[in-house]
Amino acid sequence: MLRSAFLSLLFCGSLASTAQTVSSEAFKLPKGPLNQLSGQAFLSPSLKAMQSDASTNPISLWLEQGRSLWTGTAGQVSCAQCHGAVETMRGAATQFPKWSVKQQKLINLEDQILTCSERTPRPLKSLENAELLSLSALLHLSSAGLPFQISPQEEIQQRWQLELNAGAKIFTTRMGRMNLACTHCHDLNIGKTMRADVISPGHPTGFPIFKLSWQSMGSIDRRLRACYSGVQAEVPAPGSPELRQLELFLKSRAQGIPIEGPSLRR
Amino acid sequence: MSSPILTRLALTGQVKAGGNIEARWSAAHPMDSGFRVDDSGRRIPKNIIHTVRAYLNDRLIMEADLGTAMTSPVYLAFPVLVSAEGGIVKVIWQDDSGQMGETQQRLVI
Repeated sequence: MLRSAFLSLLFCGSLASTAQTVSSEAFKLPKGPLNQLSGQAFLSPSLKAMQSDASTNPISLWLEQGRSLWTGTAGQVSCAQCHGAVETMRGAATQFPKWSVKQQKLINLEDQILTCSERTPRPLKSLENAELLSLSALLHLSSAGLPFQISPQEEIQQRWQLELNAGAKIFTTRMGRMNLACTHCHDLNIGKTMRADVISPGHPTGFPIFKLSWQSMGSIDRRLRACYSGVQAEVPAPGSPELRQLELFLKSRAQGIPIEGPSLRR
Repeated sequence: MSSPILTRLALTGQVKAGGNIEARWSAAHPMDSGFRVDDSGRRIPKNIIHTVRAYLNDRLIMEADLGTAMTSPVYLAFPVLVSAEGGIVKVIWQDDSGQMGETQQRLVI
């Protein structure tokens, strides 16, 4: 009894001190045009504070795991054995999704990590695996500040354009019981509120994300599937070509906007 | 038992003898409440971190009995009164599957 009273005091103390660091001002939309803003601009002040403080940001855990996987422990296969220090991978995350001639499909960074891991004695099994996401988070962080650089090599130009067009078509096609296309929210209604959230332009610069409602990290693949579910459309299977096409279109739509690295979302 | 659980301990604030700092501890534990089901509909057994203890130089300064309502990743923040000799803050946890772990940070005055 005494202990629990003591504990509740402790937690009250910690809550109060957090409240001091977290600004209580309400969310305000930034001035100026909204369609070139990243998702970060739509976070509440308290989430922004959480994002910028490594000691409260849960993504720190994943990044630490990513770093230890990258360098590996002695005698263990690691990413660094082939790729060198993670700093040399700056810009790698900006180039996905790209057309894989070998697999004859669009692959994103998570697909690439999965394929890489299959060459090791300890292959990763799914796209939402914690280890995979921690590596993806690390690679995206090392490309922070750079804009997406997606363009096809000449020999696959035509095929790539078809994929991009397919992505654009998905973005503008009504779907689901809500009968909405991506464009209806993320082009036409940016800055308005939907349920308790503010609609952003949907630029994919903050992936992988730690979504508080998931209590975990998730890839762009998972986030897009959540959008399908949101408009009550049939949700594509993880890794479906249409998700990659949509990702390609979203990233070409976000040209020039810098990657922010793994981010917090509600 | 799955892969090791990652934990992180950060000490924030100015470290000086007699002053308080805040220790922030988090753990990427799944915190399965026992009510969730997996993709095939089978119930995932309850597995949460049920006990967390924090020590300053092997002296118990905080003990928490956690329940199923804790978030994943677990996050606890608690004050630590810095003693003149400084020392080591150590956090030990234990979960329902019997897994345990320990994280420590040195207090540098």
